[in-house]
Amino acid sequence: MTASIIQGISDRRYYILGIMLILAGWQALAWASHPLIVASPGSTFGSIFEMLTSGELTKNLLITLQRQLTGLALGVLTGTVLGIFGGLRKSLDSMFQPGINAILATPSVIFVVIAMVWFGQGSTQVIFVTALLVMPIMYLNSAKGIQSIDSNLLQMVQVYRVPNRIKVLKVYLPGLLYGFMAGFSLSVASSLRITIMAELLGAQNGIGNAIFIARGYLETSKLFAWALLLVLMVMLIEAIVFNPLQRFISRWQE
Amino acid sequence: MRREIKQLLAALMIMVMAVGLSGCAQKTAQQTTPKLPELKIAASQGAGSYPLAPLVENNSLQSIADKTTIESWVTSEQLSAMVTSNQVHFIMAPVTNAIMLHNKGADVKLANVAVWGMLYILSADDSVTSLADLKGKQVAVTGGSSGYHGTVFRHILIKNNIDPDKDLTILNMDMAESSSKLATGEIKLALSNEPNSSVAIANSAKGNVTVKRAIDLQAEWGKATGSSARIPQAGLIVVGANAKNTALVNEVLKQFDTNAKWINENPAAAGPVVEKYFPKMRASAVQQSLPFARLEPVSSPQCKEEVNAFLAEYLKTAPPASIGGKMPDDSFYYSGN
Repeated sequence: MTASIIQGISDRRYYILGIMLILAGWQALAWASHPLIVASPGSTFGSIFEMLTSGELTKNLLITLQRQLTGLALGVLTGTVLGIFGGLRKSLDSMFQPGINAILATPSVIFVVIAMVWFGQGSTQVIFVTALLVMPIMYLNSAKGIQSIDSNLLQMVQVYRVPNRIKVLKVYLPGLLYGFMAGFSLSVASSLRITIMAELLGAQNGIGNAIFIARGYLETSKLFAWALLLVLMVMLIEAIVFNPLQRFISRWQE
Repeated sequence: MRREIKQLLAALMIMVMAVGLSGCAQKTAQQTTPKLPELKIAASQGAGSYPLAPLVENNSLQSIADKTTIESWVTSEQLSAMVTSNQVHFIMAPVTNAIMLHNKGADVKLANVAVWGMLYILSADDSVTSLADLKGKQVAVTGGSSGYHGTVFRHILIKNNIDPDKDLTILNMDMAESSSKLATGEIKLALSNEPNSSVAIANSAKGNVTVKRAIDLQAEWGKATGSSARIPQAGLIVVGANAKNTALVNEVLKQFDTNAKWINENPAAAGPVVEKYFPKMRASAVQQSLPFARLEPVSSPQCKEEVNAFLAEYLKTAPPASIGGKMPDDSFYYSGN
């Protein structure tokens, strides 16, 4: 979703106007209410600066990123591998469906609570929940990517006895990558949200825990600071990881 | 394009001003009336709220308000919202929450400290009788290390040369959950207040698990810091301009004291009345909790020094953010004039 925001800047001036509108609306809200309820943009940026100089930001960011990336990697790996099987064999897809649907239908907070009983509070629980919830997203998208390969193309490949290596590289892989990129884009953003939620409920450190403490200590400007930082983080990940990757793949597909 | 932006900005400015002005209008509309149609007191679970039940039951405040109602709060966000929007006149809340609100610019004053510590380590493990026995164990604490229970507990541990981060594990678990886990044997130790401890002990007994108040943290606080065995835990906060209405505040304080005294002298009769207004605080638990609740209200001018002395000691290990950044100034304490 954010990818399209960054990519689709047809007129930079309107984009900047959009940001200014948000800032102005935010400032207006802050004026109209108490600083305990809405922190002003000024105090929010002040909090970011404060957390940056005290080292609180970097410390928690690194812990959370480590958990997020580990969970994301595990979830993407298992989801994609299962998705390839599901995409190639309809029977396997039908067999995986109930499990995938069950995970998607369950409110994620329930997994956090269960994982806390299993693994206790800390990194294992957070990584487990992140991987578990990323997995179905990757499964569905990569399976669909393979399933959406043109059946005429598959028949042609068979008729002309195209070598396996070419078949995989030129037919299956592009199909898989198409679905993979869609799933991966979704997973990057949601894995960060999941990681922080899992930390909020059951970790002694990381951004989620910092948010828990800021909430308990009525540090509204810090809460706003973290929210803003997370938006920027997702945009940054999109800009420096996802978009170049997608450009690389689309060039290679042609 | 230019013109569009200008028009947009102009519209925005008008919106900002309108919102700002309406905010001002709300703030000035507050005024004190001789007799209130309704006096609202917000309260949460805990022994500090006990006296509010007979106070409403007997309409003790009839000289200043036609009726008194109790509203419940659970999360700190609800507390902030109630204070900033002037929804209630008084709030029973933990003392640290009150200081936090005051230090964050909310218009609140401490009217009294009602509860002087009701923190105990509950143990299903007979071998735990002292703080040193907690080494290597897991203790469930509501709010984890950063909540008021956790910061007080950590202070006591540090004073006893026990490292709260290395020598034991503090689990973040709310008291309802730790109470049920003590009963099922999933956990052995929990820090709890009243009437939660009484509930946990009764629930565990049903499942043939013996849970005891193994360590009195008030006594440990006194020993470790050389002060009295008291922790200013919860008190009555007066919200906004109501603090200027001394007749109102003084009458509330007087009736609160009278009803607290009645509760302490009539535990058996108090239970059902408290349960009527706070259904989650069961009559039997309320009755059993009274010897441990230290429900001894002291009005603000009289308790100010003790609270400040406590906070000065507390801040030696607790993060200043846990009380909103700094010691409360004198304006935090309701002075009665």
